[in-house]
Amino acid sequence: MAGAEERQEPAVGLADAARCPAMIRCLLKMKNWKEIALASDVGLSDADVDRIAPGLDALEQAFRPLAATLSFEVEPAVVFRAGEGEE
Amino acid sequence: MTIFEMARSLRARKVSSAELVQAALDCAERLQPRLNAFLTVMADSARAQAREADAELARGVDRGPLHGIPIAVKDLFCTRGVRTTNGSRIFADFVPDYDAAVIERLSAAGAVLIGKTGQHELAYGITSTNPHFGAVRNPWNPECVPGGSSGGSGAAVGAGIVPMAMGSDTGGSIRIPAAYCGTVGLKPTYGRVSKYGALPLGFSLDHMGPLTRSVRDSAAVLNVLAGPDSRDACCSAKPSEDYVPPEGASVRGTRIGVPENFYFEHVDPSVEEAVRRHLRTAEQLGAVLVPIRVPDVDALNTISRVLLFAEASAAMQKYMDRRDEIGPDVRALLDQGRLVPATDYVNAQRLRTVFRRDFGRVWQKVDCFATPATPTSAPRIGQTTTTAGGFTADVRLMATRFVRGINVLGWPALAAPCGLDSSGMPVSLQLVGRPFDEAGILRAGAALEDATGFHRLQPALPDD
Repeated sequence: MAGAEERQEPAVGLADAARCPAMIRCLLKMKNWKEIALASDVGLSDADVDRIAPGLDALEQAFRPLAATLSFEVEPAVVFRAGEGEE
Repeated sequence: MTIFEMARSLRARKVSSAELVQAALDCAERLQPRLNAFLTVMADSARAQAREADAELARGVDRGPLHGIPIAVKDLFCTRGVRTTNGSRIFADFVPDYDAAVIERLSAAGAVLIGKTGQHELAYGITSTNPHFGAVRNPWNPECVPGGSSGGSGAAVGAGIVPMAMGSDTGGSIRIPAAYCGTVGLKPTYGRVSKYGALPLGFSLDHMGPLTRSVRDSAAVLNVLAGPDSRDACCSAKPSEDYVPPEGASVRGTRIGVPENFYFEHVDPSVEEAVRRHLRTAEQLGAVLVPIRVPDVDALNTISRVLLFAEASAAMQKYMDRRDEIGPDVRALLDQGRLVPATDYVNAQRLRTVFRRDFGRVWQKVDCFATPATPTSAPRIGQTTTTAGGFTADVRLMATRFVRGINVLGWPALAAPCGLDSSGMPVSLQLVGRPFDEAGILRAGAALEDATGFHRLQPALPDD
């Protein structure tokens, strides 16, 4: 039986991963920006994505832990007031 | 000269508005090859407005301190019949058919618009090294950037071409050029000044405010700009007040917070020395310096980046089929924003709620808090990284470290000159106030200015 609880981390080390950027991204749970850009249909070439990926990775690393601290009752700091100012 | 000095001279008939405006136009033309501060000069309309201002004063019609004073505005404020480029090729031929609220109010106050100033492309950067209109240069050293994104406004005021130029500030774009060019820069509370007719960068982060030669001048401009505007959904209904500090304004008893963490870390030593010396002066004038600890400002800056990425890319999305017409630095930022998930944007706005609450606890201890406006003085044009206190960072991230988080909080902040660094470039103190307490930081800033006279420092320019 191969249940999720039995799944193992890939049997590779960082030395192996260093030869394969995709493997590094997988190991570090980083996003594949090229696939995201393709799926988003924003018209970015691979070269475009390569140029911005380091910035996006850095933002991910900084932002993900912050977002994880949010409790469900925290509202966004944008306010919608139904009715106010309407005719 | 400051606005108030010009205003006194006008009323004493020592000078006319026509003469002040012509002098500003001459100065703008003479310094344009050196500074590239202006994108559009409006000489004919300015001369006509000046004549009208003089005629009104002669008839006894006095619109207040800005009456007949030459001013400039950043080229993202819509001006009816005058092109409004936002520093971008995309808007190079955009001629609005209406005036921004800021233009309406300045015009009603009798100010004379002599031109529109250069800026970072789309207001999305801090160097004002513009790929389409050329680099704006710093009046203190033309090899250095003037800051940005309101770089032309900083250069025009720093060089003494005009006593006031309008800027906008999404992550420091008023305060950084004010700091680098040795001027005063005021970012009012979010919602204090209408954004109507200002081309947007970050809807929830954009603030409009003046760059001036003195704190009292900034206050006089805020008197004109502040107030409700139903055309801007974010504009506060809170009534405005008289923001101009009285003569002899005092900081006695004012509790000024001095952060023990973050804001004095990784700062150029000569910048820190100037700022701390300025704070000692405040103490000698009777202010109470209160050590405070602030929440994680690196985290606040991260929240700012998520918000700005998403909002700027949303604002520009309809133009992204022309992305090749956008310079590489701004294009890269807009491209990054297009890949930020909606969930991250919403969570950044939720984190904003948390940080406003947590950071707001400082107001239990202090009336305002002080920081360096920027960790270093102006970097050189083309410089990509800056080092301060052993910490090296991209020039944009370094310049915005102490200012951009304040836009997330929406609080008022004043950048004012506090001396020169070891290379002879201006250094600036940032005073951050409680929401809608512009009067408090302006009063403290005016008291320090009166005591030190640092706002009188001027760059050496050709034909001075």
